Amino acid sequence: MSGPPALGEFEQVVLLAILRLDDGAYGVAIRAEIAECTGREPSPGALYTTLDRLERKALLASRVGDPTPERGGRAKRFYTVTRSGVAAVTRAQRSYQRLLAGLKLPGGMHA
Amino acid sequence: MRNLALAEWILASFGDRERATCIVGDLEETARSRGGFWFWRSVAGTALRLGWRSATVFVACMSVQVAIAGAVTGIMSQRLAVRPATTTLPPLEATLTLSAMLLASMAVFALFRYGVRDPTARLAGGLALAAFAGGCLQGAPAMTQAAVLVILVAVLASAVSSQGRRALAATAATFAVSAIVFFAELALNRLATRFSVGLRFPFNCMLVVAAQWAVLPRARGVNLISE
Repeated sequence: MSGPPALGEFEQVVLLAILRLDDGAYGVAIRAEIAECTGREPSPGALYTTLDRLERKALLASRVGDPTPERGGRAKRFYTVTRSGVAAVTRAQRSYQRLLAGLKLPGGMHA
Repeated sequence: MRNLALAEWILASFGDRERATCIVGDLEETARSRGGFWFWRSVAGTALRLGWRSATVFVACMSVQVAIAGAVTGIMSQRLAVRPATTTLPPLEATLTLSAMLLASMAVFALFRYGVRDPTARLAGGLALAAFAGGCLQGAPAMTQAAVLVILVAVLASAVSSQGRRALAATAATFAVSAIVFFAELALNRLATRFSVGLRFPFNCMLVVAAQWAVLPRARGVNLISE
């Protein structure tokens, strides 16, 4: 059976952060979004290798923006989640939801 | 003042310049509020992450070359035992065997770097299998000719689509350069052994893999990190 590729936990976090940021997803913004939503800040090395891996799996696409002075004249690389990426993260999240369904966990029942 | 050009050079050593530029830009933007120590720690951390991956690929490519060279040596020993008069492989079989070795390590490199769906990885892998079958696994006299036919068909089939042509061009360029390095190394080694300073394993394999490493990403027109 072939379907979207399996995703690790951090890969899902990165994909979801990029989806939340929409058109403004580049390295700094993605790290900030992850830190704000999960309370943990990924190291730059972990983030860039994950972004590269996801792009290699064709779950992400990227484009280079214009250089900006506050970045020492360096351009931003903007990421967007591809259709396969959306399918993969949706499948992974639905699996979690099914596992949680009916469990009595602290903070309330998961339906 | 941070030396961004130096940071860029360090990261570009493990990938392409464009991606390194974007990463340094990101780090510089964040370092404005976090300072120089954070910047250089992040550059070092990112370089280590990228470098570790690169080192793994390098070792895997070398291992494939050594495994194929070992298989060829084993098969040759068996043949020499059966036919003592045979001292060398016929030219076509020797060419196929050498091609299998170079193509296989190229395929492993592309597989690690670009994934199993990558046209270059598939083309190089397919050609390596056919060349290996023709050069080493001679179950029937027609095996070598059949392998050459399969290689020709694969090359022609690749030339049909633009994606296939790009993969073909990248494979051909990398193959040519690594073959040149292989023969140059062989010639230098013959010269050097007169003075008992021949290049020995694993350094001889490293040179060929390094050549593939340098050429394939450039021939594809994409980078080493993301690819």
